[in-house]
Amino acid sequence: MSHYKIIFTGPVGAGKTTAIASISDQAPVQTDASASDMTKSRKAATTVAMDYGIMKLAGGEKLHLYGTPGQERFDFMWDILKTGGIGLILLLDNTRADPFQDMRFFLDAFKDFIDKTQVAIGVTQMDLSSTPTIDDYHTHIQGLGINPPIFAVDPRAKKDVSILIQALLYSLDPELEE
Amino acid sequence: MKINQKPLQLALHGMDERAQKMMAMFLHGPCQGAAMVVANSQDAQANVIDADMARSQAVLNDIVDKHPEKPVIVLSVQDSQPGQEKLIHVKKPVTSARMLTAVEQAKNLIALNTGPSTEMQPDSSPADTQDCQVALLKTINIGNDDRAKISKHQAAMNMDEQGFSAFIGIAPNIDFSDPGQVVLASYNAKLHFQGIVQAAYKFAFEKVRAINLGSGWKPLLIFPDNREIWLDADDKMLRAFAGIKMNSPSPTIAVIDERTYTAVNGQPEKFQDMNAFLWKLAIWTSKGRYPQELDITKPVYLKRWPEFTRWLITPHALRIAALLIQSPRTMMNTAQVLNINPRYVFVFISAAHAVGLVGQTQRESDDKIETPAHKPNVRKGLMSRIISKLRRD
Repeated sequence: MSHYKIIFTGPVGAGKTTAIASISDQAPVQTDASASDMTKSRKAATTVAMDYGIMKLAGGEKLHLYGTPGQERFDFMWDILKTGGIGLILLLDNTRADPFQDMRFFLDAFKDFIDKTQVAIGVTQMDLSSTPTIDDYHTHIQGLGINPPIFAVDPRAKKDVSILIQALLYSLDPELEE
Repeated sequence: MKINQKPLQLALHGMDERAQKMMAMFLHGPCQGAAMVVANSQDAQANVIDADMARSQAVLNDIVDKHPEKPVIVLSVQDSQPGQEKLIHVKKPVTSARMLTAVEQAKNLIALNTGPSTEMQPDSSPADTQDCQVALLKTINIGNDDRAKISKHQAAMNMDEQGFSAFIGIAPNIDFSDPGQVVLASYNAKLHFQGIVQAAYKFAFEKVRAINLGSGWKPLLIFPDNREIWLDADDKMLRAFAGIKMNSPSPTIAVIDERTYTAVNGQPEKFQDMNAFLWKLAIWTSKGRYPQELDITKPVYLKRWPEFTRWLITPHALRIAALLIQSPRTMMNTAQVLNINPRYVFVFISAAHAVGLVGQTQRESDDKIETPAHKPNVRKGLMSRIISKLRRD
């Protein structure tokens, strides 16, 4: 059976672990532990290896949900994760000092993968920081030559995460039937 | 790349324990043991700092002051900054090739250093590092208590075909199964509350001031700075009023006084996002018709994706958006490609047009745009099952 994945990426504290937990059909495997340096101010735990969840589909097939490590220091694991991926979910934390820089960084890091698939962007923590607005993100991304879905997302809300993934899939094929 | 045999000993700054372990694995594996992490910075031959942490410059200055003889490898998402020529810059994501080059540079610098000092000072304390992080967070203005404005952050309703007529209403005198009637199914927003609201939005933005719109119904307060409205009415009431035709609307606009400000701030749950409000108002005004301003024979295009996690989702709205983002199409062609009733396209276009997301090609040449042939999707079955699962749960 084929191994299909959706990859969740983004900076520390953007909500990747929570988003995967929101839609996974089984308790996601996490590799969190308490953080002791820069990540401590943002979240009590951070992901060093990866998060992993599963969506069980009709017919016994499974969709695998992988979250990349929150730290942007390494790329060797990303290459492993991208293999077999059908699309990318990028989560951005709106309270970070420069979320646009985060967006550029991750879009650049996954450029080859996005060129072959699609990306959908979720902006988290907008109830804490209402700027930049979703409009601002669209304006900023225009120069990068892509026009992906960009939504405000509460990663704890299954519905938000579900709509973000649906938008990703329809971006890949609008003719998919509801 | 041929590297010196003995591993370079590195002290890490701005990384937690597990990130340090990851770096140790990275140096041992992908970097073939060219360097190793040492726990005690006194044993280190060089320092590595994550420059993307808050106030990293202060920490870096401290390292350089205390250990001027030791090379410093700086990991950053940014390019090398002016004044950092003496540092060894490694741009993130850190690849083994970049790291090996940096390690080699550090070894060369150590070899050139003729008077190394082995006097070591303690690293900056963890407390210092934690203090640095405070600046990483933007100033967050909770004073406005945006979280109390719950309607702005709630997921919008996602509607299917079965619920459409009951929730949206039925356009009078139009049989959407009759192709001859469908193309005539337009409406004039200016004859409804929608048109009054759109004109008031424009006024508020031009004058850059909050206004109180009177329309013979409940007052609507518009706050262009925050892109919010305040209305003392629920969706059911709004839906009913949206459908009423106003043959000679005579709205009034007034400045919001201090007493009103105080009163509405005491009811934050009645604030709504301006565009989310106009989006649903247009849906309830349209009832499946298209805006009169648009030419049904010309292609329309979508400037960007609507905010579907916060705005009302009509049937097939995500599919329509995905298709129109790819290329301009006429409304009828969109319905045909997606094999759906045109009223679902019309209602989506009405809402997107109201908030300024839809454009129509005007040049004659644009009418001849060939829509791209759709590539067969080998994963269609799998993706349909994912969609089905997501919509069911």
